[in-house]
Amino acid sequence: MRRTLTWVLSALLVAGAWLLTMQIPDDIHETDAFTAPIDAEGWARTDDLAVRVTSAAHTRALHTDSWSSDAEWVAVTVEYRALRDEQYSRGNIARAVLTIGEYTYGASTRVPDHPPLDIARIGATSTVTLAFEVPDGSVVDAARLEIWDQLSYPTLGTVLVFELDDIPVVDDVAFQEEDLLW
Amino acid sequence: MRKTADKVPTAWFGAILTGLFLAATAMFGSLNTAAVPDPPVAELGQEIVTDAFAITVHAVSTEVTGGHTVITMAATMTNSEPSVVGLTWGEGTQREGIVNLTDSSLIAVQGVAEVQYVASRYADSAAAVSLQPGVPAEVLLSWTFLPEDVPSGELTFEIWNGTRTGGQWFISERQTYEARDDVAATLTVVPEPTSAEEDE
Repeated sequence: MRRTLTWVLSALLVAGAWLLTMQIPDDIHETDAFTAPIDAEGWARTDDLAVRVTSAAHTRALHTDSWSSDAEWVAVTVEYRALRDEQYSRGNIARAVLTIGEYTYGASTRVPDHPPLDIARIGATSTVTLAFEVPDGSVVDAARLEIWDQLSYPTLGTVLVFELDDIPVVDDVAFQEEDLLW
Repeated sequence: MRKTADKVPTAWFGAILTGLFLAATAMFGSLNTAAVPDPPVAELGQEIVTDAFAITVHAVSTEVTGGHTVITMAATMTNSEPSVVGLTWGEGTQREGIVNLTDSSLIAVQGVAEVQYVASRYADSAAAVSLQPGVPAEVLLSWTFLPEDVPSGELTFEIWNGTRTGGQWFISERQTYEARDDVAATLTVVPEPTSAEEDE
């Protein structure tokens, strides 16, 4: 009986160690961010930044007053505001990527003279359009937008995730340059 | 039967097998370093496909300016990875898939000290260049050297295969970059001198 108990306990310890090992993330994932929930009004929040998506469009052309592109783009307009601290641009959008299918696109830097991002203000909502260049002929039925604030990226933090469905296709989108983030 | 089996010198089996193994390995060069085949040689206008991106070099020029020699490559690049690739470190907020790390850029001038290039787009002069998956980009890559460091005549570029690698810098910054694997192709060209150089 005592011998059986020893074997059972040993097996349980081994199984427990294995289960614990399975729960430990790989090194590459140990700084993965947490996903923030979205409230009823569409806002998602980190400690420092609140964001919500107001519109999205898949466009065959994009232009400002001084620049144009005939490439294909997905333009996502978001509202954002700082929540806690305006110092050090903590509430600013630091990174934005759009995942369509298995491909992940970064917010484009192509727009010339793109202005520095307005510092997120506490109590004041700013609007900005994120422009993602996609391959010609892309089918963009749905996409996932991920946004990090200055403290969340690239360090451990919170990621704001928005699932975008039924993205309309439009021929052209015109922006004021000050509306464009990157 | 058992007596016969006992007479078999099994103690020799190990030595015999070891000898056969060494003889077989000697036939294939033993412990000599295996010869690495030369990488493919590409030409101007030819697409070079690496694990991370495809690049077609259209022209290479040199310019002597401010006491330095600037080598500029005009190329079309397309990201082959499933996510955005940064052509330079720290552009905007992209810190992923950087292909231009110090001493290990995936696009390098052979035979000179490794220098990071500066990237720009010649379509709309955007200084920061990210390669979006599957989207071709017309880019200019520029290296600045001391004139005495640049070989006269032909220049050879190495285009490397890369593997997306994660890493942490210091204690907080995290990025991914393309680590060098092997040379996907070399490209030897005679750069065209620009007017600034001809004036000197």
